[in-house]
Amino acid sequence: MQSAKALDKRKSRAETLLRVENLNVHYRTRRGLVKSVRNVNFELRRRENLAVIGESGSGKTTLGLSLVRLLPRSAEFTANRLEYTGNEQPLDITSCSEETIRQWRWKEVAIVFQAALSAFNPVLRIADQFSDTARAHGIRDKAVIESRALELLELVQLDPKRVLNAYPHELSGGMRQRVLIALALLLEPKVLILDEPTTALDILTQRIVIDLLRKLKEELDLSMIIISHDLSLAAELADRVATMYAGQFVEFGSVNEIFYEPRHPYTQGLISGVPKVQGNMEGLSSIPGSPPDLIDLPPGCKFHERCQYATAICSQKEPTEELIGKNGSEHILSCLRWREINDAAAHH
Amino acid sequence: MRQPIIELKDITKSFTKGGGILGGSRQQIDVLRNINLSISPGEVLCLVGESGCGKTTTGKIIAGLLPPNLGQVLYNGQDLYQLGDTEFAKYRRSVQLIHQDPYAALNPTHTIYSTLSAPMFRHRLVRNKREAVNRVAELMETVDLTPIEDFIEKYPHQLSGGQRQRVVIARSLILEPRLIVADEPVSMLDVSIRLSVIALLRRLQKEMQVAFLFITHDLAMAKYFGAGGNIAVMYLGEIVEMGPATLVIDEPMHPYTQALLKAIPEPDPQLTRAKEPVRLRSLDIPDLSELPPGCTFHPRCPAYLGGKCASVTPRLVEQPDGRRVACYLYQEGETPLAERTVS
Ligand SMILES: Nc1ncnc2c1ncn2[C@@H]1O[C@H](COP(=O)(O)OP(=O)(O)O)[C@@H](O)[C@H]1O
Ligand SMILES: Nc1ncnc2c1ncn2[C@@H]1O[C@H](COP(=O)(O)OP(=O)(O)O)[C@@H](O)[C@H]1O
Ligand code: SF4
Ligand SMILES: [Mg+2]
Ligand SMILES: [Mg+2]
Repeated sequence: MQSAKALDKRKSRAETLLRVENLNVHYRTRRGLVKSVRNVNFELRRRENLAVIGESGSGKTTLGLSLVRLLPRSAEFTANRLEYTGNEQPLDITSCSEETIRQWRWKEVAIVFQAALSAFNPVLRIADQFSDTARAHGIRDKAVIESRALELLELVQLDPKRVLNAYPHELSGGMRQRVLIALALLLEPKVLILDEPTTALDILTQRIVIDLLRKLKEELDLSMIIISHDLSLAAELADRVATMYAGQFVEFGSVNEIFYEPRHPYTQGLISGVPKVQGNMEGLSSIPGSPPDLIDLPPGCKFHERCQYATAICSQKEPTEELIGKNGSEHILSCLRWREINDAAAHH
Repeated sequence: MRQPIIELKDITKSFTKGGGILGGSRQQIDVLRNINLSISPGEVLCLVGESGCGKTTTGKIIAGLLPPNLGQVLYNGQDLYQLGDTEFAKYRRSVQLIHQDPYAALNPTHTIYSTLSAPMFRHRLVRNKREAVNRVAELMETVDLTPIEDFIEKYPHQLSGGQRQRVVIARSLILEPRLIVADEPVSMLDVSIRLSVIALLRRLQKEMQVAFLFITHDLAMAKYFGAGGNIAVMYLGEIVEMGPATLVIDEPMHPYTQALLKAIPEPDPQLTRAKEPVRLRSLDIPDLSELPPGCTFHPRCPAYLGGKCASVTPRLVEQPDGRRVACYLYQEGETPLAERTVS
């Protein structure tokens, strides 16, 4: 749909698109402060897919929303650095004006929500959802909008004739998800944030969406942040994976490090709790207990109450992020006892 | 052969759509067509398929919550809807249902103790509080809700999703059922605890020799729970393949089952990225109100043969390995070989 040359011109040469340092998001509630994102650090690179996995309530959606400043009013958010560096002039997402953010969002970084009906305006036909979005960003030429919508719907393998005149409720979940992806691409962003893009979709539809995201990444030179509780989605699409627990990245590494050499007891537990269709069903086990109350977090390691390796120190001292990878690996971990756990496993 | 607990014989179930205040013409939609299956004592049958294919409706028919429009439901070989009151009451006790939503299934104003003891008193299984407490404690132990004293006086809102589902499971065991219909029992629970609840159900199935209709859209869970049992794969209201679970999942025969297994993303990067692509002829699933003629999978089927596929519904035919498949690829003599143009 675009020549490689046009793409090159549009994309800046920046190798890093987002820089996040010590990001915290707290919600004010009557019961107290919900500490939903705590000290999150990462950078998103060009042409990279970063997956954030973890069970529900771990802060994944809140993290996604904070990156594009779409948090509700009840949220307090702070960061040492939260910067978009996809253009020559870096943009400070925490401090810039509402108007700047509004122009930037969708054009540079677009977010795709789970394809629930609530992600749409129910009384607008799909064609109008496109023109509304375009107009909000200053594109008024009807013909341009129409041809762009057509092109995008075809790109996501939908029949424009059938879809453009439909209301959201007339489409299946899989079709709605593809419409949302097409809409997100309207202003040619460099980054897509996808929140549970395959959750609640059937297997064949999940496959369609996954193959589509893979194709888009290659053809459009996109970077993606893929948020999901579904490990399979990360296995399919991610270059790097972060495991989130109680608002923190407890482990962060390449997709192979996370799936084949997980070092954090929580990541290990998540992976051994999900059976594979191919292969035998041995060695499966699940994590006991449930995540802590984000208002009243336990001292020490937030996972210690569920961790099979926890000792006295785990409930006293809070682990900090430690680079454990060697030879250029960027495997990062927050666990006090990972060395001993690793050595013990090696002796078995 | 042992007498099955439940048999479905040529079941068709229809709902009417439209014609209400929203207008539109009234239309009868057959959401289940010609369903035949049986579940023997202690046996596991997994029912898998995409949402809307009729799994829950099948479960409700088996649990006696919905009558079929056509066909028979046999309980111990007798027509369920011809049973006398006492026999019907016995059936009701011996078939229990576990829903997917443990939040809706429990009364928020009842503690675990009152939730579990009420049916015991109602069915005169216990005579006094002391007996009830003992029985409740026993059940809680069975479903790993321990230490008992930490949980017995708790209300549903004080429990996690997994703990609630354990209470629901405990409640389903009170009347010592012979068959449990578990409808997506872990789909609303967190990934980290799904397996532990499934493992509990599996343990109960083995220890108590209770039969299970295990409904799930998750093929990996079906393979895990169904090991040693059977699986039925549904598509748009029909069973397209049925047989030993491990066999069907490891070596699927029906093109729809094959497509599901090729398509399913796996939690293993190398495995899942090495999967062969699925080549469906059309991406989107047809609507139940406009069912394609012939094999309902033919508009999407990668192995489409033409001819009969598009005109005559294939029957489930037994294969040499004992499973049954509804597809002309495996029905020698049913389709003229000349029409076979599998690529
Ligand atoms: N608007 C809000 N007000 C108060 N608490 C919230 C709000 N949104 C989310 N939370 C809480 O923040 C935590 C993280 O939620 P969320 O980011 O949705 O996690 P995830 O996407 O991983 O499920 C949860 O405890 C949730 O209840
Ligand atoms: N009470 C009902 N009235 C009308 N249609 C129904 C009713 N219950 C289910 N259906 C329809 O029957 C079909 C099968 O539904 P269901 O058995 O719930 O499927 P599954 O459990 O496989 O998702 C769906 O198209 C659904 O919309
Ligand atoms: S710090 Fe302790 S409790 Fe936390 S993950 Fe490591 S071993 Fe477990
Ligand atoms: Mg979320
Ligand atoms: Mg259902």
